[in-house]
Amino acid sequence: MIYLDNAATTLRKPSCVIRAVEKAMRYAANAGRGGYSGAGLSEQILFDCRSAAAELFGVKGADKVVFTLNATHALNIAINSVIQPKMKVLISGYEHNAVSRPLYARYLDGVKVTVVRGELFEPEYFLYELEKELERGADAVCCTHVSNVFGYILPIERVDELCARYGVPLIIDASQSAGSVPLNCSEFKAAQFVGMPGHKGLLGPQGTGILLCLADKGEPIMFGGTGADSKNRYMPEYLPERLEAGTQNVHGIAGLAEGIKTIKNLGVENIARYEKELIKSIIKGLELTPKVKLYYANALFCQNGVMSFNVRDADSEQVASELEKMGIAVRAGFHCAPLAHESAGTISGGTVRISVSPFTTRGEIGKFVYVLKKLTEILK
Amino acid sequence: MFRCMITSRGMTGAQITQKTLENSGVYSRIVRPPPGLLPEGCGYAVEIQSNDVAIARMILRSSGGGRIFCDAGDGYREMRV
Repeated sequence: MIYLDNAATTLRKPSCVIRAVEKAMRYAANAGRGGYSGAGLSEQILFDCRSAAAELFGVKGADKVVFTLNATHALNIAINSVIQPKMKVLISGYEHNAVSRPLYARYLDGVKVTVVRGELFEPEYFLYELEKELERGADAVCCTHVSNVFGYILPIERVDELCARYGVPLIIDASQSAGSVPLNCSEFKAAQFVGMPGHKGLLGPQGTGILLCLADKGEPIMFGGTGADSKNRYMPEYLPERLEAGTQNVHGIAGLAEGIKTIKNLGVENIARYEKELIKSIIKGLELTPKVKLYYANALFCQNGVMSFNVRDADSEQVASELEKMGIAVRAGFHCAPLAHESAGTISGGTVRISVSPFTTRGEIGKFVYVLKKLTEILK
Repeated sequence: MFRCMITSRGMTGAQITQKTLENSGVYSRIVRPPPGLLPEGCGYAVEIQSNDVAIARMILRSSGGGRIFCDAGDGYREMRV
């Protein structure tokens, strides 16, 4: 199978990730619940992974790296921590439901959500619209770094600058950028939280996620044991324990640590360059195919290794289904991001999405281009 | 040579202290502290040798604090950081 659904999860993992999970399953006991060697191994796994993530994202202190189940869990904690009743929250027009649903769920609290619209691959226009809304008044901003549908890289550093200028806290969804687009948190001024999955660009197992708590605070959405401060009726005040109730997914985190180390060894810049080359070769191969509509940025200046397309007169699900029959895995439909499709004008039928990883080969891309061309001749 | 403990309520805090000490050449290990050192309940301590206490105090002062307890024979006594 040619796997081109890496924006959902990276299917192929480095062998060191698989080995680390297996080793942890054999030897790692419960972290923070005992003084014996098995517990110590788990504690070391957690700390190694926190330290690796802190270094990769320019975060000062391993204690600001909180483990979650996935990016959605991380973003829910972030939103619960920042968004207070009656706040006006600005979000980009490219948000995933992992951001928009937790915000819309707060309507009973009087939370008002305003979508800052912007044309696809027009970051300057988005910044202009965002500043206009900030001038009108807002209490918080939630913004994705990269659209999961179109691979559109939003200018997150400049969003942070704008938020800092207006004194508004920022929550960043780094689900599609972590591990595939450079992201340095050390310069952020307004960003308080960055949420990301462990199983996509970071090459870890599913069931892992990370919340970077840049402001060194956060409000829990789950309460329970932390292996510390046991006599306290309330959750500890310090991170990461405050936001990590119950047993962590140490087995998964062992794999995630190796995934992050692999990313560091490969270099995020190198990964970004390689993935762009793959997307460029798809564009080169398909842009003159009359029935294929590709959605891409000029020279890919603000796009990563994710791209959407449609085949004229064919439903996106039908195209994905035909590709699957030919051994190519892609995702069709709305990708849990209806806002993005509204913004890009693809809300009627969605799109077919392809997304690459460092493990995708040029040969696979060539085969995909060939198969899609053939398919457009068959599809009516 | 006697033992000293730098207490920490959380595991990650203890690990950060251990890493900081290690970067300054101080060998340590994370242990469960003896009864009485942490009235809040379960917690952790970074155990060091007494001859490393001066360096440890210097590190704790520059990193914003922490508590050091040393074995005085009849129990642990807190030392000023």
